[in-house]
Amino acid sequence: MNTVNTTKKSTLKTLSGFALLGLSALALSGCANKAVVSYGDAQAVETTDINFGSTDLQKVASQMTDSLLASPVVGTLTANTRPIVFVERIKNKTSEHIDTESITDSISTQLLRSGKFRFVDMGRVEAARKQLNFQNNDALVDPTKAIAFGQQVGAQYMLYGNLSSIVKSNADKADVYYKFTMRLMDLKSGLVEWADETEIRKTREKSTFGW
Amino acid sequence: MKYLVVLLTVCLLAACTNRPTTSGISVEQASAQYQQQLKVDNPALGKKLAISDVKTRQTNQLSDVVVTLSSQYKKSQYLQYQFTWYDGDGFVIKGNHSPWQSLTLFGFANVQLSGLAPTSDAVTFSLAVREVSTQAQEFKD
Repeated sequence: MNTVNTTKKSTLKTLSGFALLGLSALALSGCANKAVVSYGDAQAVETTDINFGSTDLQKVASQMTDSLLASPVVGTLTANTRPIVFVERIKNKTSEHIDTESITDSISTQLLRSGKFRFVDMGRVEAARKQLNFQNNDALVDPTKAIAFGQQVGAQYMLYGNLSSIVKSNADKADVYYKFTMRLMDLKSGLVEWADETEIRKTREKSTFGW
Repeated sequence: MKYLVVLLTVCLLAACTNRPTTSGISVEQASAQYQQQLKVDNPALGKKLAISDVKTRQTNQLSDVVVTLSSQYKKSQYLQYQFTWYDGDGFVIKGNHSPWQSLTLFGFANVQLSGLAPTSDAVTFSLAVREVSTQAQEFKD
């Protein structure tokens, strides 16, 4: 009786040993270790880590554009004309490295696409000057067709802003709060015609399950 | 030993299920009768969530829309929503940068989701709402 039991036990042990081996092999080969490259949705929500990410950029840009386009003051400004705006910059006052030009690029692109504003690009002044110099001073160019100096128009409004953050963390939890403020200044009078801010809160907690 | 086998099976199953549920509920505005355009692709979510009102108006010659989302569930829901805009002929507005936005809806709470048309050509819209099902959803659709 005892021997039978022992044999049974040892068979069970061997069986479960095989099962364990098989399952480990499956786990390692089938699902765990495959490098797969695929295209994802650029508009999807991204939560890889707590730092400023693509979703935050998209959210900030779309909220600021919506707020600016829907504001009554801008409605009056853009009623009969398309005001000329220049984007100064977004001051990055957070503790991270953030490409704030990317945010202003998104905002100015969306504002341009709305057909309500026109922009001058201060970042390309030198390149434009170089081209005009070439047109006006180089013997290769037909002087009657060269674009003359002194015909560009200046901006009437300046768009600028700040991005700041408050970061707090302890052993289990990290919390980051971003505040993005944006303003539109009338360059003639110096008055701030529009301002708005948007907030983002992100938290990271240790999850109970998973690895 | 037995526990290890069970654990490994669970791990194996968990590792393989990385296809998230991305269906949800959506509303499309073609006329004032938005109720007819209400679409529930995910009945489980449809029970917990309802689109109770759709309002539209013109702001600075742009279509402005507010959709009221109401929770029918006692716990918090972690959702994502996206507006898509169409012109008068039903063509999607090109380069429409309206990302999926995350939203936490508390138990039995109502929230107004507002969307503004990106250009004055955009006249109709659709709004899709879905649940955040797994971490694997991050970039996949």
